[in-house]
Amino acid sequence: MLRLKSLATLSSFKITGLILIIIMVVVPPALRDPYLLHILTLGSIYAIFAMSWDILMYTNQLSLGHSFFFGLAAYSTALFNSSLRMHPILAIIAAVAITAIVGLGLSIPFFKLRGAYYALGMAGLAKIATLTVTAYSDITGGEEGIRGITPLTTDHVGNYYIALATMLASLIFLYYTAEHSRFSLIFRAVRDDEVAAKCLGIVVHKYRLLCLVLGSAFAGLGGAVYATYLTIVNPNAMAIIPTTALVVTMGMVGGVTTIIGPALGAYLIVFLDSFFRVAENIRLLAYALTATLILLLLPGGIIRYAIKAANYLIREVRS
Amino acid sequence: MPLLEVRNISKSFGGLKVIKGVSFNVDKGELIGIIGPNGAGKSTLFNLISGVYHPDAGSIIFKDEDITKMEPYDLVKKGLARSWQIVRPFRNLTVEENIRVAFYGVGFKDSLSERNRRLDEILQMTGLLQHREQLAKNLPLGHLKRLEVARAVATGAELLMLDEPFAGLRVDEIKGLMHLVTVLHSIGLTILIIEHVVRSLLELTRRVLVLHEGRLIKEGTPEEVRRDKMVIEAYLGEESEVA
Ligand SMILES: Nc1ncnc2c1ncn2[C@@H]1O[C@H](COP(=O)(O)OP(=O)(O)O)[C@@H](O)[C@H]1O
Ligand SMILES: [Mg+2]
Repeated sequence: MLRLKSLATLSSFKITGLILIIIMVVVPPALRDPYLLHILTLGSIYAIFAMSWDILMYTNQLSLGHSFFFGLAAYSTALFNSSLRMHPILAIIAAVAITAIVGLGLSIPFFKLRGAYYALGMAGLAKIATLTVTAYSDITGGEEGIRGITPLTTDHVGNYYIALATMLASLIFLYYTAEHSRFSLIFRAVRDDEVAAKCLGIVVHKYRLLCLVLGSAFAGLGGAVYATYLTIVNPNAMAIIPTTALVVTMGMVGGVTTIIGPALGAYLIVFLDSFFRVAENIRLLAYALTATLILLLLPGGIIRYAIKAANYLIREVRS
Repeated sequence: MPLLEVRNISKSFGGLKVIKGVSFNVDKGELIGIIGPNGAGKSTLFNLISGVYHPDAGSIIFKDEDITKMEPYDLVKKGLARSWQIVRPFRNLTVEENIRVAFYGVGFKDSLSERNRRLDEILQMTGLLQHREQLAKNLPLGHLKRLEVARAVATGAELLMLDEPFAGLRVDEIKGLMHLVTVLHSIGLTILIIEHVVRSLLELTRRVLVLHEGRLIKEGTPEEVRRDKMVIEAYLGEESEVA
């Protein structure tokens, strides 16, 4: 685990955070660049998704099928809105609730699975779900997906602020839960040694369950906001490739079990992804290479180096 | 009424019978040694009692309650704690945090100040006070072995099961740890202690059980045990002898 406090004094950590938040609130809308706003909106949505993947890692649950929750919520939002004519906000709330309940239910079959078995179980789930939504095309629109979801707003700035606010609220909640609540000590103990933790009285599966419910609920929040923002959802949102691959890359590039790292990783990957769009035929390769380079050159993720850099800057500014 | 009753338990892993009908009783306040050659099933016996594994047959009674099928996190709340032969610290937690996990685990309802007092007491008793802020992964084996005991004690258990606490330590470290065991015994804890050889138990206990190939083959004082023909034979072919 990366202990943010030990890397930065708390105050400089808070100062950096505050400065970043102010910049994100003020600068992008002022630039009046719709494409930049679009990229940052997507980045914020993926940041929620990436943090939701990361919270599971706090109790050793490597979800290689995390797109399942994202896609499930995206489709639920779409169906609630288009078939049941629910207001998009209600559709989002209902979709998140459903995803959380599904996460709760999944804790039963996944109760005994560990390590690679857990990861592959999740991947299998996402695969089956993707095949299912593709197959039931009369409800889900098959490959084409569902179009015409009512957006929360059509305003670029408005969408950006909705995504940013949701992201920040998720970040604060998840970061507090993982790093500063009474759970954080238990999470770290469970991560180091589940059996030893059990023998000291820790009911390990409770904490795994807590992380699974949070992980699925926030993945659902990301997926639901994603659906109302893009107003369309197709099987890609649920598919391991690209969506799970994307979230795992974001998490690992950003720095696993830090919450903030995966959020930063999400913005970075979305930027890289759009940057390489200029060379469509080598896009995947270029993007994969860059991600691999980051993983190799900055082990532990960019968060570690970002904090060092921020500390250095603040020290320079102060002196 | 004994504190712990082990009644004819057996355990196999795949086709391998590791524990074959073991029975014994532990009275409150006893300090009992369990010895046996490598692979005799000593650690498995602790795993069965502490709920890490469950026996295929037989039963285990603790304080008049059948605990055979209970899970470790429930057993520790009933007053039964263990340490690990191969140390299992939470490597990325400090010494102090390692101990606090046990407090959370058993759900102490005491006030914060009482809990802190208890923490200091345990750190003091186990000689870890100066190392409280250190990450477990940076500690030498001697300290980790004491941390094993400290965490088990922190659960507030009545019955401590220590799996080869002295193994791999230097003579002076063993002395310190033996003293700690004596102190814990003197303040009323019941202790089961596994050792590979009987030597370190000579001064600690008057009752030793010998496990060999999953069976209890002998019970007696350390002196009786080390002179017993069957016990000596059980250790034949090992690099170490029973003494
Ligand atoms: N989880 C397990 N799975 C398979 N075999 C095991 C397991 N635990 C222990 N054994 C086997 O049981 C036997 C006894 O092991 P153990 O109880 O560790 O012996 P001891 O502590 O007396 O040296 C050994 O042959 C060991 O390989
Ligand atoms: Mg052993």
